[in-house]
Amino acid sequence: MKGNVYTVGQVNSYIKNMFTQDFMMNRIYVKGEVSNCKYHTTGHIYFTLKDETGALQAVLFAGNRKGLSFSMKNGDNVIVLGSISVYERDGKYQLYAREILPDGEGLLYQRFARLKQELEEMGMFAPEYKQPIPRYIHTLGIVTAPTGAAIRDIQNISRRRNPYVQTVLYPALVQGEGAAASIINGIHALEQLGVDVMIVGRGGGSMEDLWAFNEEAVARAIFECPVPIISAVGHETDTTIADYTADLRAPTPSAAAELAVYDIRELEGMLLSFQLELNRGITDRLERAEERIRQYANRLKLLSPVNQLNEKRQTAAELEEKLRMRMEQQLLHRRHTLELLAERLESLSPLKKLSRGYAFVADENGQGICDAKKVRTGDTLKIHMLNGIVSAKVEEVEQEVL
Amino acid sequence: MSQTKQEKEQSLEEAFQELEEMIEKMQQRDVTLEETFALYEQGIRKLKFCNQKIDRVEKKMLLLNQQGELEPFEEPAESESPF
Repeated sequence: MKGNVYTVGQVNSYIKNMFTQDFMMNRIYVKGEVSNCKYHTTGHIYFTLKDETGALQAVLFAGNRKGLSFSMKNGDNVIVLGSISVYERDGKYQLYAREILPDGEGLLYQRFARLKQELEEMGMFAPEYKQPIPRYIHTLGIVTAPTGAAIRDIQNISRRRNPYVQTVLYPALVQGEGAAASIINGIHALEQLGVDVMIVGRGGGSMEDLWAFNEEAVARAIFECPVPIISAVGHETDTTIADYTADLRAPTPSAAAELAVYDIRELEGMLLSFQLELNRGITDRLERAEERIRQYANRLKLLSPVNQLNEKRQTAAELEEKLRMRMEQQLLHRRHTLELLAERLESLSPLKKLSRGYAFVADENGQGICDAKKVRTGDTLKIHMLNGIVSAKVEEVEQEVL
Repeated sequence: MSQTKQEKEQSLEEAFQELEEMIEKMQQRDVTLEETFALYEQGIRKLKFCNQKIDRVEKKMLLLNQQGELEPFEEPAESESPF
């Protein structure tokens, strides 16, 4: 026996180190069919990947369970991301899985993830490149299939919100062979036509169906388009590369139409409120001016000479009235006094006494005679008495001294 | 830089912004009545411009064909297309 002798442990350790040193073996995608799949109580999953040529042992440790998002079973075609290393106890190499994806979609997903990372690193998703979506547009370009729910939804919503916006459809192939080229042509054609905003998208589908929107060329066409683009691919949960490079991502074609087409009633309401505010502004202002004019007019009126004249005239009139009143009062007073006097006079009238048998004696001239000395025999006397005057001749005068 | 040319290039957003500013200015007390009138006139003109800018003619969807020509687009039937 020549040469060195090694222990099993040394060999296994050596081989394990070879795997560890190998760049490829540390991060590798392996695809194959699942068999001998065992879910261990510890949470680890042991399985074998096989194809026509052979088999490869694999394990997904419990700590990596989030790398498996579906329930894997025997017979599934999967793509496993992981590292290949040696299990020294058994002297076997095996695949230590970190992530397991269903094949088909898995491959696509891998391409998706890689492209996404690449473009992101190039800055194509950067917010500073996003163009704002103009609020009030005249023409809306749409790149999608001419049949199907997407165009119908967009058309319905656009017409409901604003029938005056011109919509232009570029009928594009949105899945299968030539779809990417068709979408790119559509973007270019609508850009040349000069639309204000574009919606690029399609209805929901599998990842494969939506694949055209994950093509780099489509993503670039969207990124480079000078017309703002709203992406609308599939359902809310589907996000494609196109969505990341678009200026705005709409969760669905319907939502895209709502974002692109402004509501005409809202705009009309706004215009009306502007008009009302303008009118109120000028009316307020005029009213304020009028109010000031009224105030000045009042103040001027108070200071006006006409006003002063009027005031004097008024004073004069008041004085005149006072004067007249005073005069009337005086007259009334005098008349009253007169009446009183007349009454008293009346009560003192000698004629009153005639009724009681007294008479008033006067001479022929009506001159009262109150002294017998002044009467001569033969004089005619007028004797006033009740109900008349008696003429009498004096027969005799008897003088008496009282 | 005529006024009309300026207005032609103005978007509705910009016009609205201007209207907002005019209205706000009109409500300030230190603005003269003449200025207010001028602002009102300008505002009304701006409103008219906005109204004219909205082309209230109903549009049918057009289809841009491979030859780069526009043709009326027939509404898709309510088909159960997968996309």
